[in-house]
Amino acid sequence: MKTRNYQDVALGGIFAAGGLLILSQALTIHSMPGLPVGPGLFPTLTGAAMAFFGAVLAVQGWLTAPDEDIALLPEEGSRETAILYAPPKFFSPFVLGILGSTLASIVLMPVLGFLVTGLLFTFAVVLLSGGKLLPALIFSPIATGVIYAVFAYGFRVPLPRGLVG
Amino acid sequence: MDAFLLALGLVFNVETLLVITASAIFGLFVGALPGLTATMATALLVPVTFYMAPIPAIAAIISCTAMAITAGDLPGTLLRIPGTPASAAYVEDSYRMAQKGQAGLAIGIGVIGSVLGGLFGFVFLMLTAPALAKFALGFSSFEYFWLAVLGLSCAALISSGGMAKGALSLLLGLFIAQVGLDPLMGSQRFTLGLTELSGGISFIPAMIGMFALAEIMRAGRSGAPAVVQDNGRNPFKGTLKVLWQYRKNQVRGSVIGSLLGALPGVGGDLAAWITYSLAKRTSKTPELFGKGHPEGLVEAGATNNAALSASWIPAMVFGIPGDAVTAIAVGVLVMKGLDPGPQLLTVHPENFYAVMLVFVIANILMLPLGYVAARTARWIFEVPRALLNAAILLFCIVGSFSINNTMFGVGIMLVLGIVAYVLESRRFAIAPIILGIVLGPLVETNFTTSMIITSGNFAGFFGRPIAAVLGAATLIIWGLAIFGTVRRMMSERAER
Repeated sequence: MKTRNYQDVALGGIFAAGGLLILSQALTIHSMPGLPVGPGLFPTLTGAAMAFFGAVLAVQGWLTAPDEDIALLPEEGSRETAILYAPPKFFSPFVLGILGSTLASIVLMPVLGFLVTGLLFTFAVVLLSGGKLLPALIFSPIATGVIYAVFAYGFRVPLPRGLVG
Repeated sequence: MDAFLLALGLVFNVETLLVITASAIFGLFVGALPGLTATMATALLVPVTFYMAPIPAIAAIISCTAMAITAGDLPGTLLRIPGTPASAAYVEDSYRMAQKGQAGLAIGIGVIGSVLGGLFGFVFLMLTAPALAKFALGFSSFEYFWLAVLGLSCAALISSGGMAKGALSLLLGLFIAQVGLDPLMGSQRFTLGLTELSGGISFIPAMIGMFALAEIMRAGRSGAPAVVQDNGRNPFKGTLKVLWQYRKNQVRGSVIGSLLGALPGVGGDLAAWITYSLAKRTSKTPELFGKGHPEGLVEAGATNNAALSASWIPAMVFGIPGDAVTAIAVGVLVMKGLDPGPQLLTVHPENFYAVMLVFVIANILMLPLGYVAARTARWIFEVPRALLNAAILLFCIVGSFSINNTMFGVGIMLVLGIVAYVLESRRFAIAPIILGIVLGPLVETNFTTSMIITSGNFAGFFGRPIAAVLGAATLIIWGLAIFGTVRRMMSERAER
């Protein structure tokens, strides 16, 4: 049976479309009067090359068998290969939780400040990562406090104080 | 000779030696923290040097930088967060070695290889500084363009996913580097109307997101558990044996690092990628690269520090900094009245020799400090994964925030972390993206300048001898890669 690498075909298509989009945008950038080149030249070349190699990848994926048999299934005793090339599990609670927590910290940190947000974030990540409640309760304030001290006092980074000051 | 004796007096006094030691410890601490770079460590030290005499001030910068760059290998080895773009070249190997229980060996190779490479770079700097800087000054935008393209090509083509995926990774990095104001006219490109994007996308949040966040998402709660490390008591055990086994790589990496590091704007980042590629291409076991094989680590690690020493050639002799760190150092030299340039060698040679001596001391100090760091760093494997995840992610957020003191950097980290997570699951290499981001402005500036000089005639890029050689080498490498890919595809189809 003929097998194709549909994931590479899809990614190649995405890159080709992205390259064409970059190319179309770059062609609208005006060049400097009297000069043979302008700020759009390098993006034009980048977009064209991305579209070309995206198409190459799509064709490669169409013509060749998927490499999952080699890459996704780990060799005996080769755990790291399995981890590195495991297919993404976007809908796993862990990945969604990590992404959600990070996004929430971006939104909440300017409002609540680093100390409160960092505490909540650390607590959530410990639980998401399979930690127990008590270690999460003990570790979150310590980690947040230490990192705050190092950056705020050691490196003079003005970490967000938030509305609660 | 009198100048050298004077230099000994300038360096071997309590104040300077204390400053060197304290700065090295500071560099070790900052460099070992995930997401913090040698540039950041050096920048943080500058205000402190206001209160120092000239030689201790520059000694602080040199020792801090050297140690921070070497310490950058620690988070790379233990957490897969490279400390510098240069260490991203070999982070897969060092990290996989740690996953196999060889963290001490990987760190030992990094530290001892860096010391040897750094000392080689110092000798090279002493012997060839004037002549080599003069040679590099003869380079024009054509040579710099081809040199950068050659390095980027090597990075893309050696990546594990094949030619098309390597090229796409690189192009993605180059595109990210184009976001913001263009270097020619200062007009906005791909900023989507966002003010925060006008300044471009910094490589630090990109690096943190693509390596650290993606790694945590991938490894997750079921990630690799604590791995028993083979050489816990003596982390450097077996290092000399490995270095002797790959002595050819050590010497070649040091020589190439010294030569490339002396070119302004090139530095250790590109040099490490080129020598890693070279090590893979000339290796008897290229299939082991990226899976925890020490050969590339030895060569690229030696290159890294040899290039670091050599990057001071244009900075010291002509006042032209080769990278961000030497740019800061040149600022400190000017601030202290030690104007970098030919007069530093002719009018005040004792200052030049004093700086050279600081190089030697800083490199030798790496051994005991690196040993302590390697011994203590292995404890990170004994920390429960849940706590480690939380601490690393908080570091990622603070590290990304601290670049511009806005949450926008954290957003960049998050977006690029997701991109890396998806791409890597399809065997795209991430490191060429980072290199594209870092070297993109250099490539574009030199390309645009060259195009203006030749009035848009691309043939002019081959008009100078060295540029022609570099250009031909780049085209041959791509030609061979395309030929190899087509031949492999045809043979695969024939087998089916």
